[in-house]
Amino acid sequence: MEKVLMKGNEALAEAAIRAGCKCFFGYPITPQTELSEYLAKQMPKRGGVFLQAESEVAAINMVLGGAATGTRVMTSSSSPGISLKSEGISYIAGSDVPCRIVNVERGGPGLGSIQPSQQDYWQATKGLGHGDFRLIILAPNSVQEVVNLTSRAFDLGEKYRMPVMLLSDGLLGQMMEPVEFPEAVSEPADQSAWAATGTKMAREHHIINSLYIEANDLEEQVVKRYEKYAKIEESESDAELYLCDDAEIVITAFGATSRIVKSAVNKARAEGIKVGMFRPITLWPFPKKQLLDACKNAKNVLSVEMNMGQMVEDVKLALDCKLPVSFFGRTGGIIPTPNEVLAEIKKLNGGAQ
Amino acid sequence: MAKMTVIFDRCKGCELCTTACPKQIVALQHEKRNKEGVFTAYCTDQDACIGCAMCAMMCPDCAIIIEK
Amino acid sequence: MAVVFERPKSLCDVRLHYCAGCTHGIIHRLVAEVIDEMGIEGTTVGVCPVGCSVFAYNYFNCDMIEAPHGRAPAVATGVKRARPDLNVFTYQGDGDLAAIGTAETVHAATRGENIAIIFVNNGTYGMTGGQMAPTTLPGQVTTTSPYGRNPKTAGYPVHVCEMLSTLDGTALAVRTAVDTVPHIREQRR
Repeated sequence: MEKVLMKGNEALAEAAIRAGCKCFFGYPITPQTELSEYLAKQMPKRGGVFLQAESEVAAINMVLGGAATGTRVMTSSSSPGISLKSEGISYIAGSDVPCRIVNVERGGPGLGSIQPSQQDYWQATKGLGHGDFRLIILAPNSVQEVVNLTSRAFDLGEKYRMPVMLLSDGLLGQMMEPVEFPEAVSEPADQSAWAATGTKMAREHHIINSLYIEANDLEEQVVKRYEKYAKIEESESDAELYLCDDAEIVITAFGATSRIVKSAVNKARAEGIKVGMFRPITLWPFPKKQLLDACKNAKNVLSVEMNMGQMVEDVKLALDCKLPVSFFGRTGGIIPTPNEVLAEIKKLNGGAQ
Repeated sequence: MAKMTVIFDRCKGCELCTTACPKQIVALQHEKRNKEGVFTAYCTDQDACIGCAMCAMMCPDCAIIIEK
Repeated sequence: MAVVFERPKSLCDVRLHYCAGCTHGIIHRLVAEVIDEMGIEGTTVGVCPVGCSVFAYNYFNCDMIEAPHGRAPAVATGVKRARPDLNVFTYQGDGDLAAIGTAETVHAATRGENIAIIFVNNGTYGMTGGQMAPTTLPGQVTTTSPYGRNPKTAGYPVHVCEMLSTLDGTALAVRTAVDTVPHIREQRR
């Protein structure tokens, strides 16, 4: 198939339709707007449902209802909207229902800004609502990867019966890149063993529920869910390693920031500095083994992010604090430049010599 | 001839049925508690029961069966 | 002799957890009787949010979804839009429907969602032990209006049916009581 030039948000929407997404429930917010608008145009023409809810809270609960029928459903929002959705996400996780949530991140806290940001790393990986639960978090770094990860998000959600978040940002959402849509898309898996689709008087009724009034029952459910999470950590973590084999300095960066870091790494390499980049594609599960592999010759690790260093803790934990981890980032909607990152690399390089 | 039967262990002794009966022949017995520990409703005079099912309709726990 | 009155088929044969004399049981039965009469148990999905009736998923034989507090109309919307072939109902209390879930209720109604909302109003938050609800009457004593609801500080109760009936999307809004047999019969209609 030929390449087309598309905005990240629109490519994501198109990829979702191609991945068999049948229902979209959302509420307007910048900078995810084009995603909703694209689906509002396309869904009615292509046998799907687009519904603009009265609030983020309602939208995520519509997702709960739609997903409970085993249908491929999704919602999208940006940072403050995701905060509102966190109640519903907790219920969805507690009900073991698969769905897809897109966060096109913007600046925070509060109303923050509408510029690109990665300030929701903690929220996505650690704090999306009350209770013991996890979401699989996928962080693409190009419009093409947005497309590629879209059907994977549905597949993973159905495989493990849990919500999956695609963590994009204002930069990825708004930029245009040539993109190719894969011919073969994943087929929705059979959900009839648990979904609420009517008993047809042929089976026991299915109950989609997160309430266990007996403490022992709830503990059993949560422990079972954590066994599932352990399997996911074992088999689903994913990362990109760029020029890490001989790297003495490894830069960790996710999402759009990794594109800037890659430019800086190339510039530094041209000057003879042994630097590489490690990019987690799954933020949860965090690709610990891959990071250790990337850092096998490293003396220094630098985390570059569009926030105040939210990923640093995960990097340190994965490295067991055996390497010094420093941080460089811009926040509030400001994008770091390759030259800024290069300056940080040079600082570390001087320190390492 | 009608018959009113109370499902012994389902009755919570709320007495709504006793107020609903037009013949005033439903009451709580005070001899045997069910597993919930309540004295249950019963028909004091089966022969007078007309099978109108008003007691059953008032019962919040589907604890009354009416045959006619 | 034939059985003329017993438990409807779409109501599970289990003990209800409600307090003795609580009319939730009657309303459950009325809903189940209607499901039976229409012969739609196999294509019905019920949605029950937080409140005394949160355990209703154990009581109806059709597929059931437990929703967050107030969000049942949104969850039901999701079910119905994803699967228009299903019959969807919600079962909500007054705190749920008229306070925390006002937006979801009003907007589901104004969109004309093809769902049935069973609204059970007891004028108080029962599950948490009798606090003031949006439908608590002026002067009514609750644990959080211990001197009686004072409209000057706590406002007036919400007239849910009147409010919803002003919306173009609402197909039917009816209100009745379940305190007596005639009222129960009326409700069933």
